[in-house]
Amino acid sequence: MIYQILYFAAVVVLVISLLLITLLRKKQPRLSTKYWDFISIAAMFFGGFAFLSLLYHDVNLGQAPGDTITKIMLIVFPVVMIVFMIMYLVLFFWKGGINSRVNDDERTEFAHTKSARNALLATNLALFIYLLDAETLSRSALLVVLFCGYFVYFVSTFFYYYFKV
Amino acid sequence: MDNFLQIGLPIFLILIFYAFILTRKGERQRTKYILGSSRDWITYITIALGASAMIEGILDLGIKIPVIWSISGFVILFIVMFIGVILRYRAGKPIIRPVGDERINAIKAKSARNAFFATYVVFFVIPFIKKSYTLDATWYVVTLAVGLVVFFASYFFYYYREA
Repeated sequence: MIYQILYFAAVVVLVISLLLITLLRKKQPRLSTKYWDFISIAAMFFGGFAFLSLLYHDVNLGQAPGDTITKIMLIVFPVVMIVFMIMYLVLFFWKGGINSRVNDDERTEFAHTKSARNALLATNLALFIYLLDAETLSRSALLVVLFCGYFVYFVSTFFYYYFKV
Repeated sequence: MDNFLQIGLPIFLILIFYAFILTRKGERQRTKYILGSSRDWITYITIALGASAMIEGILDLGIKIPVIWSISGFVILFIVMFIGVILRYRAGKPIIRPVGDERINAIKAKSARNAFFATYVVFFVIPFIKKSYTLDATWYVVTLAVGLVVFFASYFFYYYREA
């Protein structure tokens, strides 16, 4: 129990620290983060930590994850994250960068907001499908539900930020 | 008989409601604005799916809502809507109004974002409280209910306070 409380406290402190560091840096004035949608970013932090603890908790304890979905997720999740990172770098140098065609403004904030909305749609849809024939969500089902939200959030953000504006 | 009342009566009342509206002159043309792409359909579908999953959870919990309650609730809703329609009809105003612009869509998107935040915070907190990684009916009803409550609270806040 004490480790869980410490873990919880560490996550909250980490999120708040990152937020404060970002906001209070001297070379990064408040203006440059004015159009960030912090609520959706914080939601992704919490979702990310929930997903990672679901995915890697047993692995850290030395217990091999039993079901197939967890085994698939252990491979798919890092691959998807690497693909997103490569996509981000490609899009950053292709469309972003110093001479950016996409400058941050209200549209940036709205892109994040709409991405969060789409992620909620994916989460609720996954929950709805699972609950049609199950009364309890298993650990692997919860992994899939969280992964759907995460995946849709990133795809939507790229789409709205780089292609829709 | 109970099932027939629960399913048949609402459908019958809705049919009367729309028959009354759509047979009026000009109302059918205005539906084009209502059903157009300017609406935030993603939010509507999100909330509908969330509510449906929550109802499934409530049924899984074994909570049975008495038939008379559900029917009376629907009849009261129908009467309130019908009075609204009659009042607009008597005032000579169009019943179907093309409400909603980019501000309303922004409010809906922001409310859905807040609901998303609330849902994911609950997902994050659950293992600390339950000490397990499964979600039984009680917990997913709680998760979905938190999301829905935050959505509606945010919607009313942004609509009436922020605007």
